[in-house]
Amino acid sequence: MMRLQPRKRASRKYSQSPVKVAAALVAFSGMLAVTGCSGPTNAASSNGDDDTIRIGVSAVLTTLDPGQNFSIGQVAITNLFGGTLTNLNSDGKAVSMGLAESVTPGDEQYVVKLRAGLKFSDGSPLTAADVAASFGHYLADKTNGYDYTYAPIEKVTAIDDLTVAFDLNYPYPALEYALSLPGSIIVPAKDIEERGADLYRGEPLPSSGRYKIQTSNQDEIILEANPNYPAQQPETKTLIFQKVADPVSRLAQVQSGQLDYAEEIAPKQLAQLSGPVEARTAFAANGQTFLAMNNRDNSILSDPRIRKAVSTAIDREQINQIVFADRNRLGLGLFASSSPHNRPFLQEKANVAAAKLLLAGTKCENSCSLRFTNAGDADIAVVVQQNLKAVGIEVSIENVEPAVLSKNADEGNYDLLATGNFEQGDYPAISLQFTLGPTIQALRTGYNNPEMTQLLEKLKTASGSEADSTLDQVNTLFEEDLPLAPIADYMVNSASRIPSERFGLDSTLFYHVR
Amino acid sequence: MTQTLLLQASNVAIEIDGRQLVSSVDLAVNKGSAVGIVGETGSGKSLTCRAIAGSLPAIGGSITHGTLTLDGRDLTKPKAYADLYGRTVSLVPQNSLSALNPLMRIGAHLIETIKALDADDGLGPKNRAAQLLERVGLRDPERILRQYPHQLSGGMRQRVMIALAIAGRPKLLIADEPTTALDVSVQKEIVELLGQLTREEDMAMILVSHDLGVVSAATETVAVMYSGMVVEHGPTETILQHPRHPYTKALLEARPTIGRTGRLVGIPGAPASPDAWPSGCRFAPRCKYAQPACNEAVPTLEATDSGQFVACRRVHEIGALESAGAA
Amino acid sequence: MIAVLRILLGRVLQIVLVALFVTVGTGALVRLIPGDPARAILGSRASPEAVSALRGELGLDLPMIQQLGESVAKLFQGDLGTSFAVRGQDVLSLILPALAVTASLAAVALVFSIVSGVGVGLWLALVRRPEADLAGRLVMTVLLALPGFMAGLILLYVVSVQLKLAPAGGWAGSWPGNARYIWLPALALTIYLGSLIARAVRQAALDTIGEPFVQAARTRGVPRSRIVLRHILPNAILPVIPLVGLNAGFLVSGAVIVESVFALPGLGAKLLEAMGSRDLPVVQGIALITALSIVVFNLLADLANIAADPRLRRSH
Repeated sequence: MMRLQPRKRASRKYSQSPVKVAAALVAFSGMLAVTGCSGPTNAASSNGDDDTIRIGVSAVLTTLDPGQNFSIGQVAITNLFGGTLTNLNSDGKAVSMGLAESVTPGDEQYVVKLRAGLKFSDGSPLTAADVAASFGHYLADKTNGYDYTYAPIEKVTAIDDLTVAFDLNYPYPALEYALSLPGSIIVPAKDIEERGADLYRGEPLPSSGRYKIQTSNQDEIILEANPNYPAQQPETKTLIFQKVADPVSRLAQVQSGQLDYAEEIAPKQLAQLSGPVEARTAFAANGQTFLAMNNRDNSILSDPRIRKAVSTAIDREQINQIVFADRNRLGLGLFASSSPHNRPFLQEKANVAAAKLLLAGTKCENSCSLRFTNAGDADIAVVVQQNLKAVGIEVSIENVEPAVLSKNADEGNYDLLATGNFEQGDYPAISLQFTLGPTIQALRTGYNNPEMTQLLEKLKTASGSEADSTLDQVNTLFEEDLPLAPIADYMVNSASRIPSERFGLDSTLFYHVR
Repeated sequence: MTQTLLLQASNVAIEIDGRQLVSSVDLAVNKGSAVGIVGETGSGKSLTCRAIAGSLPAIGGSITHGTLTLDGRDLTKPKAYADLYGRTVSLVPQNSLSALNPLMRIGAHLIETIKALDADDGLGPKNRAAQLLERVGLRDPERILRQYPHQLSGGMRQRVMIALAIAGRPKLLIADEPTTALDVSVQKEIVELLGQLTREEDMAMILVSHDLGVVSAATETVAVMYSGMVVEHGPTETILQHPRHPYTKALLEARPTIGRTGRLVGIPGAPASPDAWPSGCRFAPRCKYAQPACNEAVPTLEATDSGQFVACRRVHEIGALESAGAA
Repeated sequence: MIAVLRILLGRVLQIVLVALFVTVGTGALVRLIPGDPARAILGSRASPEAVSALRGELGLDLPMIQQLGESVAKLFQGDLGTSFAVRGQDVLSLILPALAVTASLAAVALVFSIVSGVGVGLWLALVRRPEADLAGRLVMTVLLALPGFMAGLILLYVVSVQLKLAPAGGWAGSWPGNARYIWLPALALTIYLGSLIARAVRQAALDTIGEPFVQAARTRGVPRSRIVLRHILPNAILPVIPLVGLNAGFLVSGAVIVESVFALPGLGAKLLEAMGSRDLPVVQGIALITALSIVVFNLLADLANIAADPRLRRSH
């Protein structure tokens, strides 16, 4: 999943509204609160049941429609109750069979065999007809946020009760991965038929996943183990996701024992944790924090030499220290540092001399100014501002709301912005469309090099050694064009008072539960 | 004279916040008798009332010298009043609207007073309240008991105040300018009511007014005050007919009387402020009979042949002058 | 009763005007600020086609005048519309749970404020020791200057974190469990409103003590306790009613700020969330509900005033 969003929605500083100032003070108090807790801690846990876990999240599901839930927590929750044909492995590098017994790839058609005797959580049988109907619904939904994963699929048909055929418009090696995403959850054909456009209104649909929905509202979603799921039953029978929008409150509540786990905690606050509460850090298998640069003609950064100079002048170590409390891994290439595709070529520290050399003969030779459009925490903008000052580039920081940032990015109305993106699985054929592709640019750099576009097109259908060599060329061209500057990995921090084996985020940014 | 003395004030001085506003008051009230106090605004008559009614401390005042005895109790001692209120002495205030709690019904005022004084006469507080309203000449007491102060006319409210004041059958009723805020016709009714009640209930009364005429209708003796002193006192009739102090004379001349023709004769000048009281007679600066000797010492009350006490060193000379003038 | 009718009529008219103005005003404002609800819902990687399809579905491609006109037309049928982010959900049903949280917080804070404010104010007026009065006034002045969120933070730190007497924020979601969570934030609001009331009550009580009717009651032999309870107290409370009415706005905005400190799922959190996702009907709905609450609160204050003061019941 990729998102154009401020790196951390956690603590908001330097903003104008009193509420936000209050929020900043809340953050301050939270630190006090946590420091204050360093003595004897409140031993009382949220409850005595070993089979229940309470998780504080920034947002629960606003709708049960997986096509309209995109925050890390929302996607991860959806993945718990949504059954999919394949399951993404916890390292994000491959899939294993889920509801499917086998997936037989083909250039024009994939054939999926279902496990025998599948049932939804309500006991009704889950058959090929349900799979076909589910995809029929997704393909027809014009407002589905996962539409990119369906694009190569022409149609999905049930051959018999246990066999489904996916007819493709063109070869789609990443289909096995697409089938594992929450956008490909299997729901009952009966409900699709009966409810039509109102599929996700009213009672939650019977579940096909490990868990089923017990209750779901705007503040809380309670999941219970689905006895009909064809795998070993989890020891944790109940998962309670509570919305605690303010990250400091989430932290305070996990510290006090009201919660067992608090997702999305600002890295700076993790050092304050005490007692049985520990920090948990997940690095996305396929995700990065970028400094997005506007490649369009309206920006000085349309000149690749200046883009490279900016990337050379920024101090990734310093950013890691100040913004990520030294917990992140530096981003020195196009891919996450753990990815086998990554080819590091950038420097950890700033190199002023090299940057100045790059600027020679450009509009920024003597001095120039850039706008850093920022939403939320401005730390990263401030460090970049300092770094670039050393090479004579004046950076002015514009603080805006996330929705405004998104609009400005859409319109190319910025020079620099900090952004993060992640994909659950390490499938560059899909993720690169959004970092470097010309049409659906999640990062809105406006980068449009036909040569790169061609490579990405090739990557869509390539597999094996062809895919590897194409990725090599992409790496090389990226190094040459540098449309955006990698800074660090995509990191999600949480605070937990339960063992990490029992519950936590994988590098897929899905939850694992034992 | 076998009447028993109820109230005795002699040479009473009153200070408020360290400022002497009353310097010498002598007053005696017999049981069941009615005494008037007359004077202009600032003469100290209201303060004297407050001193007797025990409400000086509330405005930061105190009796600094002299003696004040009510029903055998020394009132110059603090807290002397605790059990005198309502039973021994009670006050009918000047302004009935501000003297009633705007948020309480008339009935609640009466009932709380009756309960506080334990004076329901065995009727129960509510019946006793109604009886009291009838007693002060209010018709339809049941309805009035349910009404709020602002719903009554000034005269009705003043009657309610009287009912409240007599609830505990006090030995002394102090009416401090009870008619100031009322119409002339109502004034008369109220004064008559007070006279009638005190007679019937055998209460003594101090009736304070700036109008000798009002006082004359209901009192037997009267004291005239000027600048914090009693300047003349004696039987009401006598003083009304034969005022001896030049101030009393002037006061009577200034009084509008029905049937009398000619212009009103005002008193020239204004009373001195307490901070600038003359060393001698305080009326001297306004007195048409004043002589330099008047400024030498404060005159004291002295008996005269006509039966009143007058504080004027020239009282006899003036009497002679006037007789000569009249003849 | 005529006075009551006149007030009711006036307020009903006010409610209609406020509803109209707030709906059109906030409706226009939220549509003029940049940011696309459809993009916020679908995320940054949805295709432009999906985004534009959703815009069509949400009615965002219509001219603004038409969108506002539809809002107003729906409003007069008692319909606040449906949410963008929580697709198809009735706005009112989304707001009501949050309103219930904010309203209970405001109500508890109001009760705390009145009880403590009246108690302390009366005590300060009656206490004969000047140093106690001075100290009391000093403390009130300091508390009045303390911003709501600051008060909340201090209470959070001292009471929740150090003394562990209350949870560090949160909400049980049901009564009476909520009581455990609500008292501390309510206390944070009480610090300001209670001090304000205490100050007003102290002054009014001092004024009342100087009133002739208190003197008169005393000289009638009415005991001090009764004078305090029946004469001074009701008259000292009288100015509190319009004071509280005037502070309805503070109560709501204060509640919203304190909610954010204590992580209560009230209107404030809902509004921020709706603003973030550009859920325009919800933003409009919250603005409307908030404005109407204040009008209704003022109406209640008017009626309470009439109930408390018989002089206002005079009909002309």
